[in-house]
Amino acid sequence: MVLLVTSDNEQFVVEKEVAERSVLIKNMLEDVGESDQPIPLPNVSSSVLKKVLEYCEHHRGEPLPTTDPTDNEDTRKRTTDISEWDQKFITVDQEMLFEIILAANYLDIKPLLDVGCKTVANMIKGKTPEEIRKLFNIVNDFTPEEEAQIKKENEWAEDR
Amino acid sequence: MIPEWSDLSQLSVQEREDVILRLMLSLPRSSVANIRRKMAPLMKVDIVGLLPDEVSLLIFSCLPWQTLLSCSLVNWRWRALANDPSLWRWLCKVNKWEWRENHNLVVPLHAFGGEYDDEGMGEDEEDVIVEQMLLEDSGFSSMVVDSPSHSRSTGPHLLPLTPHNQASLSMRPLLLSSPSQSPKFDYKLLFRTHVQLESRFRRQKYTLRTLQSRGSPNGHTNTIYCLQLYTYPDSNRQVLFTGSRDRTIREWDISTGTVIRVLKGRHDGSVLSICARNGLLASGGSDGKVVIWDLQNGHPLWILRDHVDSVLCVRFDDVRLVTCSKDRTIRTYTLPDFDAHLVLEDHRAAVNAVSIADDLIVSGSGDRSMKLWDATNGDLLQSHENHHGRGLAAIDFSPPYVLSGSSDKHMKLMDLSTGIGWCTSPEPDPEGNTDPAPILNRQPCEACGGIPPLPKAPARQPTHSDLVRSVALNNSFVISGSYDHTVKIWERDSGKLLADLKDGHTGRIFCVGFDCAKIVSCGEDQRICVWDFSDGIDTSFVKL
Repeated sequence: MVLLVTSDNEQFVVEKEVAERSVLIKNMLEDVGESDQPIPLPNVSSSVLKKVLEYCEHHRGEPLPTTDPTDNEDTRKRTTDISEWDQKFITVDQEMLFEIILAANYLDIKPLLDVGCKTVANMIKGKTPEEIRKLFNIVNDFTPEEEAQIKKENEWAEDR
Repeated sequence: MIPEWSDLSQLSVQEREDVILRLMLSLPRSSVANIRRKMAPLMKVDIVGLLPDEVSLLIFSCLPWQTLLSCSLVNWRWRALANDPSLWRWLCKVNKWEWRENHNLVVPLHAFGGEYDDEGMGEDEEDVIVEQMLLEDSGFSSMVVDSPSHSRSTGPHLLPLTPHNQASLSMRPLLLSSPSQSPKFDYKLLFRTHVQLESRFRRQKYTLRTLQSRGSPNGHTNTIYCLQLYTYPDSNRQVLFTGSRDRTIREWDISTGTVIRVLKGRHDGSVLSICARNGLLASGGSDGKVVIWDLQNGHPLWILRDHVDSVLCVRFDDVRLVTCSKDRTIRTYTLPDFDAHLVLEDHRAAVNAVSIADDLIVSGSGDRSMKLWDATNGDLLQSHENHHGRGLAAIDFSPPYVLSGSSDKHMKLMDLSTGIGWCTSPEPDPEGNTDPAPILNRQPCEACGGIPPLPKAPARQPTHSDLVRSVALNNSFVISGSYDHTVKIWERDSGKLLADLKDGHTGRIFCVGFDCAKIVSCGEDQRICVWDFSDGIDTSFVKL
């Protein structure tokens, strides 16, 4: 078993196999060897870790993605397909989605990071700039002139 | 009594949360709903804007390019991310769109005095017919453009930029490409140029020029059977090679329309097929010979005399030369010394066309079949009998897709791994008769018998009205040239007819080739047509 301590000082006792879905934790465990030392996760709150561990628990035993350096962005599958369970799992409010992506990035859980990123991509896909601003409550910081110029730059996309 | 705000703000987050919750519970449901509506924007997070750049870019890498353009209009932060070169580099890469090397040395394709000779065929028609009879049930092939999968990659241009400093770089300039900036690093510009060119292909927006018409000085003096666009690897200069019934091969400067040199004196008959690559050119003739020419000095290096009848198609890559003949065989030779290797015998009629890729050979024959061979050992991997209603005249192969054109006036694209594809004919017609407006359809796989999904919307559309003699494909398009005097552009994935190029030729078309900026075609009328889709678009940095 592994003891994880969150930013808000909550403790989680987790099976090693589950905790090691996180490459960060896996590497830490390898570095310290067999030890009962708690692992501090100062960037993850308890509510987010709870959610992340739910994911790790469900996907335990699955092969970890390769860390082959040649297997980089170019070979990464750029689809937005998400499995049914993951889809249900990731149906959360924007704040939680943001926190999960941040945590997955920090904890180095590649498949979870992918699920989070694809989910955000699916939210954005096909939307107009105004719809995107509304979706995420973003303030348009372009001047009207700047906006007009960028629109002009993008004109090539129109099939004319 | 309302407590002072200063008192409340002393409380911890947890305590304040408790206070609000208690207050909320005290309210009527309508008030809670009201508060919830007012709070809705507070629940929203600019996820993309707040994540680290590399994670935001991960999100953007899942988006289609059109959405990336929308993202660039959201705000400054989003704009910087959406313009990140890593995204556009990836989009170029999946489309195999690359930079041209030494692009400054390349003279852009520009207008020259094209001569519109509208003279029909006539006095030597008899000769032409004799040649065509010789090639009955469908001549030879034609696929012609440099295969991008074999060409040298252009990796070294990449700047060693991390997503981080790229994003901060692109934060500043609003102008995408200032004139002083080398376009080499502007992947968005490369992408955009290709999108513009593809749009021109779809909208049939071209400028037509002829490199030669009948009677042009120093031009071919007879039917032109084959052509290929070729880019010299050292200078990146693009030229056009053509082979003719006049027994010569000519090299053309595409921009000036003049003949650079003539390769001759080795064929005792028509030059029916050529293939240029890596400084060599192979030519196959009706004399049964295959000649390998050194493009550096124009001298023949090897003459292969193994076929006992007309050599109808020649293709080679870095490993081997593949030739096919009216003698019903396919022969392979290993490079660099062109040693005879395999003889592939299974076709029951002339083998009109071959195409090669990844140690695979596909062949199309007058016996109506299309066959797939293992080029390393000669094993016959797949045989698609009655692939067309009549003999196959042309083949192009870009794994997993095999594209064929036939005497039955139709074309078929098949994904060899699934057997699924499209055909311009509703079904193979044994009589060779065709519906004037056939239904676009997906053909069942002869090999596996699998039932392919039905097309979503079977569309009636015009097709070729005569033998399809030459076909070529890339990632987006299929190009065909036919005895009906037209060149047509089709969408590769759907088989939808996009453009019908009618005004170039007055006789049968024997060969077409294309790159991302132009289509070239030649035939019976001794014309070489250049259908240029790049007018007004700077393509000097684009690998053709």
